[in-house]
Amino acid sequence: MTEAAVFRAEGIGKSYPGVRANDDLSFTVTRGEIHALLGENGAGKSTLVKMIYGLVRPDDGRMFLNDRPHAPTDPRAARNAGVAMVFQHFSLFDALSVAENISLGMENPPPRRELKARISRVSQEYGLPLDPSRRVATLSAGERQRVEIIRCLLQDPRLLIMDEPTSVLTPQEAELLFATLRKLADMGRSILYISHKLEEIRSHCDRATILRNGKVVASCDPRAHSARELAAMMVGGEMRLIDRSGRQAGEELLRVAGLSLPAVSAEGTALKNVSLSLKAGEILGIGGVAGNGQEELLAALSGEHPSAPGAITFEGHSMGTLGPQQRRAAGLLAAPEDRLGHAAVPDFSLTENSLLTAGPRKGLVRHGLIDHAGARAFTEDVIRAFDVRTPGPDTAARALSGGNLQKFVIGREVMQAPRVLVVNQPTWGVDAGAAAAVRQSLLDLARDGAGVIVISQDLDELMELSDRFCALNEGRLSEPRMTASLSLDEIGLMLGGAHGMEDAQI
Amino acid sequence: MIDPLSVFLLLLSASTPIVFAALGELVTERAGVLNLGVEGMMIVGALAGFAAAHATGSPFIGFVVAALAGAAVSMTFAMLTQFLLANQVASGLALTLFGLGLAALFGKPLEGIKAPAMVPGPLRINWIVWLGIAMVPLIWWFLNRSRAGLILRGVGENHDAAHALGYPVRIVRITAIGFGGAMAGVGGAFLSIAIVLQWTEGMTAGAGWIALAIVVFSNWTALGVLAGAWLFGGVTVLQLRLQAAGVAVPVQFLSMAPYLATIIVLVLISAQQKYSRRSGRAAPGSLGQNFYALR
Amino acid sequence: MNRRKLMASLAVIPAIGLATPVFAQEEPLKVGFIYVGPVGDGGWTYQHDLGRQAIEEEFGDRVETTFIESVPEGADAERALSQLALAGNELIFATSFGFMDPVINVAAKFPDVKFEHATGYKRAENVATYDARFYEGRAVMGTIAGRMTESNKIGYIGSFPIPEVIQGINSSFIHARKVNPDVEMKVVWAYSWFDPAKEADAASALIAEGVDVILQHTDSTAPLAKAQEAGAIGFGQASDMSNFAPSPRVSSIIDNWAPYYIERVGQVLDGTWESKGTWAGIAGGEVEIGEITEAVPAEVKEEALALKDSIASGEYHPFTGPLNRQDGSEWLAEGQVATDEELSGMNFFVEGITAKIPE
Repeated sequence: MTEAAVFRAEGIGKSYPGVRANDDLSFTVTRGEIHALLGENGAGKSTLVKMIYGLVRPDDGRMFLNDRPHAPTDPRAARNAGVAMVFQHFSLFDALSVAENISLGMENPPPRRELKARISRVSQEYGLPLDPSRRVATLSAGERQRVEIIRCLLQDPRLLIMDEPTSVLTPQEAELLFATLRKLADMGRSILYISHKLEEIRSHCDRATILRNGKVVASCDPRAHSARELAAMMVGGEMRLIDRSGRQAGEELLRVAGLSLPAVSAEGTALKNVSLSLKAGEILGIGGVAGNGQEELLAALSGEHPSAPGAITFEGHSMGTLGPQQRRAAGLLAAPEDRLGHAAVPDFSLTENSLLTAGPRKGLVRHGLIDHAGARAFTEDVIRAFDVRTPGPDTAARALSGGNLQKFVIGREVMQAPRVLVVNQPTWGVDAGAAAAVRQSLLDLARDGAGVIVISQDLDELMELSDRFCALNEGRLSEPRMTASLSLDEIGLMLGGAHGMEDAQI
Repeated sequence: MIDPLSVFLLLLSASTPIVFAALGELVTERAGVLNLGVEGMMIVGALAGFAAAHATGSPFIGFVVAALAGAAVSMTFAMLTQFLLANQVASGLALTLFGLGLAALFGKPLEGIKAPAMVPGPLRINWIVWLGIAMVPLIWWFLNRSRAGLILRGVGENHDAAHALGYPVRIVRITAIGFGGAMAGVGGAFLSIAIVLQWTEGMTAGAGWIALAIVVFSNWTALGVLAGAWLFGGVTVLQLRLQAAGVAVPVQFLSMAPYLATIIVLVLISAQQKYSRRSGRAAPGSLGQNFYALR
Repeated sequence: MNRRKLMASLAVIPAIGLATPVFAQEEPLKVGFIYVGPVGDGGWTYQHDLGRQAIEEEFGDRVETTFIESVPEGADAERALSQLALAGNELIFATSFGFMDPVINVAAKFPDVKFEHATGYKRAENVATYDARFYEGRAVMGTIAGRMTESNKIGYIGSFPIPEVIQGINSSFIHARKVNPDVEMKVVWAYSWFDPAKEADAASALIAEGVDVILQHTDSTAPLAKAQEAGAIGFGQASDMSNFAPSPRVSSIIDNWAPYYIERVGQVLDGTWESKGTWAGIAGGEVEIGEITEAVPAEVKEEALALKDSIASGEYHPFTGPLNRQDGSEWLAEGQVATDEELSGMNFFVEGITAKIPE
């Protein structure tokens, strides 16, 4: 490993109306290193990598790639210069095949047959199995990421940018990814790795540049620091510690018995004989890789998809056939994963969005008429209590950043004082500070006697929050285990569908 | 009693306007743009093509002018939807009304004039008919085998991803709209120059709407467009032939048949998509959505 | 289409013209028309519009006419009629069979407005009907067609199977057979009054069946253009269609509505208008035979003109027995003449026609 600089940024700055996204940024990525770019959402990571990749042009400063000035006007120029990027939200084309997707990401793709051969070769070389003629719509999240990575590798890049690549992967898949990245680094390529997951950065990255409010606040070897120290640099102060105290398991609130439901969409998974029980004051964590029935489970619990009369019992009442509004009125609330479009109507104001779920429980609709003042007051309460950063309750949901909207969506449910709250991916794509606030609110809710079900793909989150843990795999729910007694390896096996002792007994 | 070959030859000619218009719309929709203005572009092509053919005495020049005129009016739609980000459905309907009105206005002096004669091609079939059939494999090849076609499909499937990869979404779409306009123009001109042999106001009589339906019927494939156009044209021609031959046919049922077939195909397609994990080729992912380059 | 939009805004103007006939002398009489096709169709609607222009020429400042073209038969027609009535028109001509019920409905709402409905059979206090005996002209065309065909196959493009069209088919066939016992008739229904592409396809279908003379009861010139391409002949329909003379258009039936329109407007102006059904033909000048061109041999032309004269003088009626229905049952005995009631409800073909009327 030589210390030659592959990429260098000098005094980069970029302003948007009202925001200084990047300010006098300077850092260096050397040959063969995995370089972490660490920061909260809004710290300026995305803007920075978009400039490197030619999607955005810097206002001031200079960039160099292999000591040559790097000022790409568009992504093609950046790719020609040797920069490749794997996006957080995959920029893939569902209806096209793997080979066609990869071809679209290349400047001068070879003929079809040769391209397929090269894809197979590269995928074997790096241990990324992939069938070139499959349609992307049929791939799992991990496989989709492989498409992106292979697309990049075929360009023979000198600098590979990865934007939060592990957020959609299982621990095993993540390990596989890191093995691939290490192999790439050993072959002399450099990797710019964007994340806010401190543990993975500590264990896999050679260097970290930490951003806060658009500025570089530190550059360090992450292995030499604790996660807490890194977090402190990232948020500029001590992280608020999660307070798990004061909870007591009470009587059973919710019981699901033998619930089976067909898939909600062509990509979904049918639920097969799902059973669970939730007590007051308890947090039940449900892990699993996306697309294993999470959406269906949430829909069944929220009432979006009615089920058999006896399948869901809430506080002694059969709920299976009731719709969402009736369940809400009874105190069974839910917040789905997709915050923009499912949990909130993009073009409605926050007040209007509050009305949609809080109407029955907060008495905001009387005799068919809307209590606007009440709805507005409730929304203002949510905004205040959950620190939602927005001009006000009249702002459209679409205009909020992901983290702020997530705080609003969760806050809106929590503030209705539910008896049971079901959330799916409560902190997905949310920065560390906001995530901590959301998690604390769920803990507080449980402390006050409600039952909470957290469906998530973030294992750290589940370990941190839940009292009991079970895994959802191909629509089947495993037996719950006490979280405290579980190791990461065991969880990985549960997620993969080997349900431990349970399987052995059958 | 009825010679199948003669029915087929009639069918080829009767379906040609729809073949052109639907192939053009197919390319436009594969780029993610829903242009409901086909009828308007066709009638402008019918008028412009007829006027040019009449003025020069050359049907060939007529078709070239029709293509240019169709493309030109489609640019009003392109400007509305690609630059001003107007709603595509409303803009397309406006284009239809605009085209019908424009053609009616400028067509007055051409009423009652006969079209210049065309030299027939092989099998005494118009060259343009052959051109329309040749466009089917060409467009199939373009969409499925060429680099440009892949980019166009990418833009139609996911414009955000295409933009992130550095493809010029707007330019691709404007080009596709223009191509769709040119094809609709030629289709319209075939009506006035080769079928009706004159200009009459409102002569497209809904052909553009049938072309739109056929694109859906085809499940967005070039071969499907040809099949659909031949089915529509074929049923029409066949029922007229059967009547002419004195066979008592349920005319109303036959007139309904193509639409019935479309509904059945739509049901089959959506059923297939629902139960077979999207193995079928569905509508382009970004169809009808405007693209905002935010970043 | 756009003119209809224009008229829609006109409807907002207060109905100043809705005055009693006493003022009719000072204020111009407003006369409205609704057309089923565009005035540029070169056929049916074009001829009605010529009638409208004749009114303006005849009465000058004393009348003011407006029209709405391309009005679909159905609910739109009712709206268009109401617009005309609200805009102060005192006399409204509705010029298509399918406007019949809308006219009756609107007329009930505007008892002071007088309506004239072409080719229909429903009348009211303020609704008169008028029609022309096109079948008289068809007899002349049929004679020419029977003489001119070499393949002995003549084709007929019908619009809708309604009595008016069926009369025309029967009349043409009877007179073609009279001069050529070997003649056969092929009938194709277009199910449209005006659809150039479909009419062209229908003509092609007939030609492919060996037809060399095409008669049409649809309004565009597309069948003539197709006939020309194939070396067949045809006839102008509704208007002269002289652009296609001398061949393929060898003659034509011309609807001349001007005499009737002028008469009725004059009656409104002098207060003598009353509801009635008018059915005039060649004798009254409503049905004219367009010039028979040199493509037709002189003796055939002579024969045709002789037939026309005998119809005009009342000496001969095109539906004179002996005539049988298609199923072979007797319709008219030797020397018996069809009554107007029979004709206006005609729903069968005469013996010899092999085509069936669609149910």
